Amino acid sequence: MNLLILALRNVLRNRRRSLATIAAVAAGLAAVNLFGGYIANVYAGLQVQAVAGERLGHLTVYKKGMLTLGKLKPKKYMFDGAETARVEQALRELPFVKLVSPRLSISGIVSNGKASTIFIGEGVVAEHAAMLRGSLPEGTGGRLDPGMRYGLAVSSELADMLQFKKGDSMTLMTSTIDGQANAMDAQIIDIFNTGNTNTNDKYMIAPVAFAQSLLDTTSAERFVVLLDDVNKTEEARLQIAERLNRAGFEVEVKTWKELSSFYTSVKNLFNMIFSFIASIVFVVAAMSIANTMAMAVVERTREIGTLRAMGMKRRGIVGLFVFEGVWLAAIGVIVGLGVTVAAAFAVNQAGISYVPPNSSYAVALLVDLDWPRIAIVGLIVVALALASALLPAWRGSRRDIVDALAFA
Amino acid sequence: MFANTLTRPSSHLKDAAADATPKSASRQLVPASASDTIAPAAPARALVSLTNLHRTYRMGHTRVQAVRGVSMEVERGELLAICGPSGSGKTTLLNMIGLIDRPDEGRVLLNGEDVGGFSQDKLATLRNRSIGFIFQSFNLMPVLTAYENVLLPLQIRGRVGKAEREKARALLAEVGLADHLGARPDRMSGGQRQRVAIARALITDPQLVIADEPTANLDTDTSERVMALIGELNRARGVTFVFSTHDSRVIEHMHRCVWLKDGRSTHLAGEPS
Repeated sequence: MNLLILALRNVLRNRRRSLATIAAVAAGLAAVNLFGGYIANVYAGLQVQAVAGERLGHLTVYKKGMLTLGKLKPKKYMFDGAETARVEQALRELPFVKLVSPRLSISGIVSNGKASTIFIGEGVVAEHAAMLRGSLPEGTGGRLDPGMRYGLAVSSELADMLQFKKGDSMTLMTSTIDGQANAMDAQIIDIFNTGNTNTNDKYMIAPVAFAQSLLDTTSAERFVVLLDDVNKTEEARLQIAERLNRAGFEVEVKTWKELSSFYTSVKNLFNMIFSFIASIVFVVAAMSIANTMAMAVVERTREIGTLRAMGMKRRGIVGLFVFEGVWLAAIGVIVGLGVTVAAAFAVNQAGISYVPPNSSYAVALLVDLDWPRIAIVGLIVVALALASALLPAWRGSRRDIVDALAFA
Repeated sequence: MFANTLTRPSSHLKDAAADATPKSASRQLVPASASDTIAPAAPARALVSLTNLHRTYRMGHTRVQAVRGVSMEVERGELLAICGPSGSGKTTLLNMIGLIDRPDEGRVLLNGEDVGGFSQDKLATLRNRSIGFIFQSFNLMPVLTAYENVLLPLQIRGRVGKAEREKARALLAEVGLADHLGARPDRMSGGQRQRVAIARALITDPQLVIADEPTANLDTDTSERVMALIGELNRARGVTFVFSTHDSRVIEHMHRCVWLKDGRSTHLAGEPS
């Protein structure tokens, strides 16, 4: 029997107090893990929404200056037809690039013949839109038909406003790249939910060739790049910029996180809330363990004296009580893990849904088991337990042996 | 040699330890070492020598002079009692002999080596190797079985193998608890607990066993049996026992008794003041 087992037996000795401490640690840990699992699911959903729903891909390549000066003089900062071909060629040579898709933003007025309203949208290669949408749910993301040059997808609230249904025709009026008025007829081939209340009443996607005709240009405003691994985004950004520099282009490469301000702001908010909740839980767990260990040290003062008299060194006493604190935390973590898994299963099976802020449709409330985060939280709790037990243990070990033996 | 040393065995007390005591061994003083390694000192005539010990402690705002200038020696293999009324300083003196307390003044020599300069860790190692403790309230670990309690000093030393486990079983058998290896202290009588404590004190083959009023919490019959057991162990193993007690039933079993009054040694056993 070693010190660890002796420590475990001491933990089990005062069962009621140990149970209360373990319950506090487990409940706190489960709360943190469940919230962490919920936000992990939200982040994953927002990532899909940004990459596929908003068709941002993983990286977007702009000509340098497009994001600032290009807003006033877009033509100067667009890739013309020849440049488009060279950029596509250069990027497709990179092994980690799955897709390079040219894009062109459009905006103007859409009319059903009786009423009109503003619209915004973008031109996308139809086949690329299909690749990008991935596993997006039906009714979101928008679908184009590669065989229909004039077939467009419009957002659901815009369709409702102008009483569009699939197969209807509409007229789009816009300014060309040179500032001339232009109008084109198009057919509605899909109605979809953008997932965002800010765009769902005005958005549409068009084949890129249609968008170019509308703007009277053969240029592309930017290129969306899909990678084979989202985790290599930062590394790919550097390599793409370098590759295009070598090809003679001065470019800016933005990640989907940089372009999806909604994702970033939600993530920042949730991370802050998570940190706040986790801090409270960590403090409660640490205080609970510190209190338990302080009481244990006081109650077992005579035992400390006996062990010291028998030759246990001060660090042995510290080790004994620290092990007890770590046992309490470790059991709490294991119980908390069980509670987390059970509660996550229950929540995921309950079929709860809600409409998040800015979302134009309800989403399921799901909890992912975010194992890296669970492991980190568990380790932090165990480390805090160790630290919390250290002070009372150290104090106990410094106690004079004679005083400790005489302790009533 | 020492002003307050009482080393002459009282004539009416038992002297059964005489055979086990290497009286002819020469005495050698070894200076205190700062090193944590404990080198075996050459055998000294006395196992423990106390020279002019003083110990004062505070009780609230009051300074209590518990031990005032006590000098004495503990011979190898003897059964020695430190006797006296409550508050006479016998537990304080015993604590200093057991190296769990330090004198304010004076010297404590174990095996001729002055332990005054030893670090806490070195003292702990020395206690573990050389000294066993029997407490008035037994002080067994409630979460451990009798067998595990006996093994505890060896666990602290960090060396428990098959031989040590066998030894613990044998010791428990020797104190009459062969059938109680797996019993926890709360399932045992006071006498059984004290016998476990005796086995625990002996597991490390100590040179010295310190017993602070070991029979105070025992009834007369149990007390008698425990003292008989200690006497047998003393004879059989040559282990030196130092008791603090004011129990005449305990004193009867002693080879020698040092009487304390107000922190000073006063007279030999058998010559009450």
